[in-house]
Amino acid sequence: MTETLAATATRAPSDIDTAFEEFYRQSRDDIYAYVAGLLRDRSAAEDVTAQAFERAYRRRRTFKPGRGSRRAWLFGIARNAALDELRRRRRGARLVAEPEDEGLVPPHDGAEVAVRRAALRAAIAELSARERELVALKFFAGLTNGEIATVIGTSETNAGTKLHRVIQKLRRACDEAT
Amino acid sequence: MRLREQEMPLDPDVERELEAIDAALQGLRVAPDLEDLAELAVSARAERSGPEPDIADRLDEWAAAGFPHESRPGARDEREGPSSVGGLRERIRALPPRRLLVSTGAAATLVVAVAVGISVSDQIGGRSGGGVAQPLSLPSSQQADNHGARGAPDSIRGGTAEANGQLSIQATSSRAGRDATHTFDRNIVPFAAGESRAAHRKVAQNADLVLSTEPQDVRDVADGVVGVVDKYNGFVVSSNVTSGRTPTPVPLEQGDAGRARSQQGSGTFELRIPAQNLQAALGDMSKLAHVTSRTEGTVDITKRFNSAQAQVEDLEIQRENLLRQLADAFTIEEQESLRARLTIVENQLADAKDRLGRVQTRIRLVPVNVEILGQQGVDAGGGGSWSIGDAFHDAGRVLTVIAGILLISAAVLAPLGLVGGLAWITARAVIRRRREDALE
Repeated sequence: MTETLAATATRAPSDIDTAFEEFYRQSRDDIYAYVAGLLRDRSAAEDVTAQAFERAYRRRRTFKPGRGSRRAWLFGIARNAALDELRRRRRGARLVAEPEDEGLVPPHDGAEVAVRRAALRAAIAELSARERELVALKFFAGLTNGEIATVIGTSETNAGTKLHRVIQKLRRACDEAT
Repeated sequence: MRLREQEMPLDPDVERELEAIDAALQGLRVAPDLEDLAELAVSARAERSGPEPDIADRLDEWAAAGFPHESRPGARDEREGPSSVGGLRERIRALPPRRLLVSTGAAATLVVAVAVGISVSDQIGGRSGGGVAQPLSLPSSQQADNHGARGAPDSIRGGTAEANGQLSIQATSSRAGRDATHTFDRNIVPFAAGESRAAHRKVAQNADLVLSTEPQDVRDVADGVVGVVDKYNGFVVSSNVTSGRTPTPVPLEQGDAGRARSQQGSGTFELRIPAQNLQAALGDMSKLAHVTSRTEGTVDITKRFNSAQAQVEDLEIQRENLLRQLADAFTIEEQESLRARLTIVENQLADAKDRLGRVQTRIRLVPVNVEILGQQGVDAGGGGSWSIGDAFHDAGRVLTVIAGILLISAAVLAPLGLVGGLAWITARAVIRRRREDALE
């Protein structure tokens, strides 16, 4: 594999390749965070993130700025890959209970904060996949409401309303816990 | 086709809270009554999980290599391997839809065009008989007219019930100064030397040949025709040959075609050629001069043959019965009555045998009409060269055939494309629905 990588790497990259690589660097962590938040599985997140970039790289010449930002386009591809992964899991009846990945738990940095974060984490875990996706897109990937609307295929107003509803749910859950 | 939701303005309170969340995520201050919401947003943001260093390194290395499918990091599912169906599906899916459509369309067009071409060449190849490769021209309804005009004899010309289901194909061959139009009658029964492939089928053939030659060569060509007839054991039923003269430079008046024709010479022959020698005889006659047209036809006359044969057999049985009764007859009246009936039956039997003989002769001897036209500028004998005019003519034919094939291909592909397009749209909608269902 090393030889293959080396051989491929030695080719002269075109401008579009260079631009895409730069785009990859800017988006890698956000895509991973979104996918990991949705799937709650780090190894699957790595695979789906790679799938998303592979598909995007192959289709990089088909991107049309008139249809939305390049970031929204990439997240749309990542979303499809993630949903395909969810479908595969459903078919394979794997991870039925979706156990929390310990690797996703950040270190605690204070009792009160820890309690609040634990409550928030528990509240997020209670969310449905559709709700959790909105949280992942907004807070983990850092998309604007307009970009979220493009990714999930709805209007910005609708996306904002849905997002607000989820935040209220989290808010109530955290208030009850504390 | 996703229906776009109707845009409704956000509730002001909702909008205010969403703006506060955005501000908090950007590190900005928010209104005091929304501080808990801002804190929630920041806490949610803190739950974000980026890739571990080892994962990031693998992804970066892979990205630097150009995102190769074979070495995709984290690939856990072997179905996605490069040689698997999943890998192929992934590659196809990665193709831009427009390029995929163009490629598929081009491939389908090629397949249909090849299929049509093969089908067409089979039709021509099966009809050619003389062994000359003949490119196809479009089917022509003019064939039926040609047939009648050439005076095809007997039941062939008449378009009897037996000739129903005829399909005509006209083909043109052009080679080294020769340009011939061949017209074939395609009957239900294929060509055969007098008999059909199935032994019990009876097929009658006919042929018309029009030859063109220089006026002064009409007589020689006519002699050649007679020679070919003799060579293949045929005979001339009738003939009429007018020798041509070298034309004078005096222009002819309009409508004086007959005079022009007699001046340039012409000939007509009504021939009978044994069925088994027909193709060879036509081949030899075609070499005598420039072939203007060549028409061959077949008609299945099995029904007529069987009818005549059955009638003969019935009458023979009747005749034998009458002879037996005559031998046993006692009275003179009875004998005379039987003799009278016997005479009638024998006359009927003679007629029936005559009819059967005519049918058999019709099968065995093929009527061939040959017309020789004396025309100025015709280079008979096959010694001419292929001219630029011939090239244009052939090019036109080739383009016509290609246009025909493309037209047929389009007729096949248009509905297929429509169905394919609908299937594609439906498949996309189903996939989208299934993906959305994965979130439920």
